[in-house]
Amino acid sequence: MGHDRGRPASGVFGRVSGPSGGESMKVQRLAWLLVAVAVTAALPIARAGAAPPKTTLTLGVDQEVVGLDPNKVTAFSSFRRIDLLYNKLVTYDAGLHVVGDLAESWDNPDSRTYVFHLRRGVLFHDGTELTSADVVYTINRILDPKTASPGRSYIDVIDGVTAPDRYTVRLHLAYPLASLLSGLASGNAAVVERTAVEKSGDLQKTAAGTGPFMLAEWVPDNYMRLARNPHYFKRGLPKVDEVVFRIIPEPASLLAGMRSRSLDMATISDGSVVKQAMGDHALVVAQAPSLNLRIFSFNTTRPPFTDSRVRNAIAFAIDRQAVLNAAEFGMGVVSGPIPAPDTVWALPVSDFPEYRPNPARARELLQAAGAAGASFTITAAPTYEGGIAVAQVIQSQLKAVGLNPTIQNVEWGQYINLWVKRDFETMVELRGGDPDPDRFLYRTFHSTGAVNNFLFKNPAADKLLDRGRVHLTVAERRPIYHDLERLLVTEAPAVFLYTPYESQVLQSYVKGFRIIPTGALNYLEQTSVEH
Amino acid sequence: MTAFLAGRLLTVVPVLWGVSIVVFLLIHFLPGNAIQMFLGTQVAMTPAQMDELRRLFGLDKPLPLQYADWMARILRGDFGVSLRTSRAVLPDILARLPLSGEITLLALLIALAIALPIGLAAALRRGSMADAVIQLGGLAGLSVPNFWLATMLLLALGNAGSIASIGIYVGFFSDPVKNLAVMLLPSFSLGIALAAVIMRFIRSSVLEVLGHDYVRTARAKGLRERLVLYRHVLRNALIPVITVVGFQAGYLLGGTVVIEEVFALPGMGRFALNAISQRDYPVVQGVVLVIALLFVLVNLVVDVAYAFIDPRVRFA
Repeated sequence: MGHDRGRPASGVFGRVSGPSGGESMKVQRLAWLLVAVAVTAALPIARAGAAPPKTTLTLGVDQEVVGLDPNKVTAFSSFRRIDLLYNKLVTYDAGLHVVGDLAESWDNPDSRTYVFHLRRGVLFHDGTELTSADVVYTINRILDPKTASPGRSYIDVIDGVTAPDRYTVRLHLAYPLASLLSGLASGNAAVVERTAVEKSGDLQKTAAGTGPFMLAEWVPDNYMRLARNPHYFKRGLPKVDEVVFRIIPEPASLLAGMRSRSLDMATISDGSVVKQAMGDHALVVAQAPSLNLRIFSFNTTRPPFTDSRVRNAIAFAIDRQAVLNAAEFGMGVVSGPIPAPDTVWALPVSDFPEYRPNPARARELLQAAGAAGASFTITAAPTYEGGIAVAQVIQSQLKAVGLNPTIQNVEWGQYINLWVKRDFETMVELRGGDPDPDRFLYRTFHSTGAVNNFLFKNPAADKLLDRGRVHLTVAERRPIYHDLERLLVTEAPAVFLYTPYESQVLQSYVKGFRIIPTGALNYLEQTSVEH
Repeated sequence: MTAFLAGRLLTVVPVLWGVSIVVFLLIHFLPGNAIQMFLGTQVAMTPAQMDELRRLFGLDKPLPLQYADWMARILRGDFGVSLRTSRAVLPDILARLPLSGEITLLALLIALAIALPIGLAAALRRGSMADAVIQLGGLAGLSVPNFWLATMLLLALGNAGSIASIGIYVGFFSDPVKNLAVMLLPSFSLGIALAAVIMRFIRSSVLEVLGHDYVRTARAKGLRERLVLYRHVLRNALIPVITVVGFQAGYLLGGTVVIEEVFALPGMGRFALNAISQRDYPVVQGVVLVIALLFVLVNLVVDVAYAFIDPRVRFA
């Protein structure tokens, strides 16, 4: 999650007052003395010190974590640490297929029962073995309303969890739910050590996982040091001895840190700075599309957007590639309702007629709906998520078809406030997608969905969403979601624009890192430093 | 003198009380609230779950009651707990205070080191080419925003070694050399505008003193020019400068917010900035209160120092 960084101007004008008197020499002498001290102190700082025996990977990121309890955190920055400290029953690989993590395998005796077979010999950071009891404890902890876990809604379909033996966990569901595995692959479902939680109350400041790295030192707002877990169940990994996360909020400062080699790697989200990094031959820029989805949302209860023809007209009017080029320096891929890298489910965008910009068709539809020349506001915020640049491009494209939008540019806190209250006409958003279409689309577009801010009520869409979640195989589900994607593009509760790239800037000696669409830093365990 | 001190100290209380009310109201009247910011736009929660969180955070009570609760706890020295991180606020503020204080102090020293000789030189060569160049430089120093200067310095000096980069902050007392290496560039970026202010001030102050009768008398009695300058001119010219420098220290403390952000230093300013954008009420209120206290104290010290130096203030 980003936030707004206001820049208060520093006041340099103080009060000036007073007649004159004595006692001036001391001030001057003192000043000169201190200059001398400063200069001599600065002299010996010319690149001292031999290479340390340990291999350290220093990673610059722009956000400090907000707590480390995997079952409780909501901040994206926290998830990226949890990826390294904990494991889940299952996880997603780079191709967005569900694979075993702590579970070696699993089977479905029936569509409402999952049996997970755990890896043996997995040790927590304190050396005790992970057993089915820890998994049962974790799932009950997430389901307990008192934990206030955001992961609860992902898996609250579970109505029974048992441990038939030390390495087997059995889950029973209230109804069949295809996206259960996606819920279990979420960072919020990371398996925690029962005794560690009971000892420290919660895990916001400590870590008790099974992951490739262990929490060694944390100085909030400054850095966090993670040490290699010698007992990690993937033998030979991780490849570096420690990972140091440094919190550097300004993108330009992150780039400066890369140029001066204070950092080995940096997560930079500002497109213009990434562009500069690309121009630097000493640096490598890795990019891949994420599961985040940039959308232009309509409040379907506010005229003229109550009429689906108006929304469809705008879907025809917007040139998505042009928005992407202008607002994100082209760093992303145009996408339908399911984020483009999720190729298991996503239709190619060439299947949607709306993705060939057609101003004439847009004008026709607006005319038919009696909305030609309509005025409305576009709510946006100056943070990255708030997408003010996107709003500006869309504004000019919509003016070209005769509409009259004005931009309401609000501070990030106010943006969230309007978002929660659904108090907007149109809004630029960045939605976090999910590899499983049920988890992302159900909460977003079902008439009962928790983040259906469009207040979109469409019986056909509801029906498809309800059908898509009860079947378990991809072959059965895929045609359902393909129908749904076409419906969503045409009915357009929002205009789906693109998925932006994730960008990591690396030194050329950093090897083995890969970006995966979920944004998880799983590949850090494979990353090495080869000077 | 005691009466003077006591009187000045008493004024601190209403100022801080006023600040506490203003900051409390301002942060609570900002649109959005801590829970919304906490959840962002990605987490789906039912209204019942949100109410539960609100109750948990103590945000369900009426505002005056929340203020009274907060005040009551502050008076007992309890600054509360961060809504976001569940950490106690006061220890986190105190941990960040030395950093912000050090930048402020270093910036002040750097500013003085630059301003004193240059300001004096400009005054003595009034109207010359050198004076014009210095004046122009001063204007530039005043006009350049410190965050821009900081970013440019970082980017331009990117390959110049550790001193010109963003290092990991270490406390001055645990490793002074590393500490200064990290702090020098931020302090310089912060101090440069102040240097311009002080330099211009010194120039005009010296010029004013140079025109006084006692300077003419000193010269007339055949005193060497160097002695005239040190004993008569500078001594008198620097008195008002002390006041300016003292008052500026408070503003510098405010300026550290931006500098800490650019140089990724874990100081109080950045702490406050994050807290504001996240609506972390106890943290914002705590930091502002501490900064206000420092500001008032610095002003108090300046007043007292001034009274000490210039008897006319003491007895007025």
